[in-house]
Amino acid sequence: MSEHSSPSVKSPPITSAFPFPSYYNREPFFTLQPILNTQKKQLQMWQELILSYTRYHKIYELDINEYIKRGSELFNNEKIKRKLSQETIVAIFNEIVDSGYGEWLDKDKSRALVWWRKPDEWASIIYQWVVDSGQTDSILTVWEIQKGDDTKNLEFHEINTNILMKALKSLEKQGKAQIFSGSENNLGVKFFSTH
Amino acid sequence: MRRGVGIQAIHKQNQQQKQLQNISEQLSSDNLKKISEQLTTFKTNLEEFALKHKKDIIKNPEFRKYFQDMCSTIGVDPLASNKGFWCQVLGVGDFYYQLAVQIIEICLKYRSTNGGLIELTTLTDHIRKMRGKTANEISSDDVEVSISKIKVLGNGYNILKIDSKKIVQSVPCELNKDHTDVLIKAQSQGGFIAVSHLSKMGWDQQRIKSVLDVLLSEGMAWIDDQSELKETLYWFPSLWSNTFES
Repeated sequence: MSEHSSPSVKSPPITSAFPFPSYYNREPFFTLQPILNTQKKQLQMWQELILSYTRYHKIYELDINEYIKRGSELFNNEKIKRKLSQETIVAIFNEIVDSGYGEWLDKDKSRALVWWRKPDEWASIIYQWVVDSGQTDSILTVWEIQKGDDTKNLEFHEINTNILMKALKSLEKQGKAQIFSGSENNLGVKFFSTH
Repeated sequence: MRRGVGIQAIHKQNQQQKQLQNISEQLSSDNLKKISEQLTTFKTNLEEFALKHKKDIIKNPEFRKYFQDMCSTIGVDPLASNKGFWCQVLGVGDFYYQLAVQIIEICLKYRSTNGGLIELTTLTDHIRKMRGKTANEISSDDVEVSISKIKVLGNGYNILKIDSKKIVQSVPCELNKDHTDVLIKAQSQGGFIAVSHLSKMGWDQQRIKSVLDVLLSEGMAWIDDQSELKETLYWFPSLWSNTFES
C-alpha cells in the first residue's frame, strides 16, 4: 500500500453524485478536435470540468493511468459510450499545468497535482485560520494542520502534503511563517503575527 | 394670313401663363395642406392608439408583433429611429436596441463552441435568462425583428431556415445551399452527419470534403471518432437544444 508515503492520494472515483455539466453528455466532447480554435475551447471546458470534479471530491493528486485502468467516470462516459484517450488527457493536463492550475509529478506525464485552489490561496486560507484561532507565534506541526482535530471541519483538512508545503513556503516568503525542518514526518511551522 | 405675333400677344400669353401658374400653385398647396392635415390626424390617431396600448405593446410580445405588423403594412417603422417620436412615446426603439445588444452578447459568448450558429429558440432562452425575471417578456419574433435591424451593420447576422428550425448565423461566412443541406440532413438524424450519409445523397467525395472542411474550420462542426458506425461523425452544436457549454 502506498498509503504511508502519500496519504492524500485517493483512488479514482468510479461513479459519484457529482453533477456533471450537460456538455459531458455530448459525444464529440470526447474526441480531441483538430481545429485549433475549437480545440482551445474544448481544452478549457475540460479544465473547468476537471477542476470542479477534483474540488468536489477533494482530489489533490491523480494518476492518469490509474483513472483509465479503473474506467473512472471522469474520463469515461458509459451512457454515451465515449471516453478520452490517454493522449487527449495528457493534452488537457498540459493545458491545466500551463494555466497554473497544476503540476506534473513525473516525466512520463502520468501523475499530476491539480490545484483547484492555487498554493497562494491555500496560504491565505491557512494563515487566516491561524490568526482567527489565536495561534500566531506558536508552533504547529504539519500533521496538526492536515489531520488535527481543530481542522476537521475546514477545507484544508487532509490537504495534500505537496501542496501544503508549497503554501507554507509561500507564507515563509511573505515573512508570515517559518518552517522548521525536523525529522521528515514531523515538520513544524511557526506563524508570525503581521503587526 | 395670320396676324403676326405682336408685342401685345406675347404679353397676353405671359399673363395667361402666370394665371395658370397661380391656380396650380393654389391647388397644390391646398392638396399639400390637406395631405399634411390627414397625416397629422393619422399620426395623432396612431399616437393615441399607441399610448392607449403602451403597456400591452411593451409587455405583451404577441400584441407587439401585431402592432409591428400593422405599422409595417402602412409603411411606418416604429423602430427605424431611436430618436424619433416612437422612442419618446413608447420607448420601443430602446427596447429593440437593448435586445440587439443582448443578442450580440449571447452570440459572441457561444461563438467558440458553435462557430457562430445558434438556434433561434435557444438564443431567445438565453436572452430571457440574461434579462432576468423582472424584465419585460420577449418572444422569438422580437429577436427576429431585432436581428433584421442588426443586418444594417453588415452581412454578419442572418437567419437560416433548417427544416422547421431557425438558426441565427452571427459570423460573416457565406454559407451556400450545400452547407445548409448538410445541416438539414444532420437535423433530421439527431444532429450529426457522416461522409457515407452524403455519398448516399449522390455527392462526390470532392464535394463532400469541401463542404465538411468549411463547416469544420469555421468551428460549426465538431468531430467524433468513437461512433459505432466506425466512421467519423460531424456534430453541430447549433442543432442541440441547449448551448454546448452549459
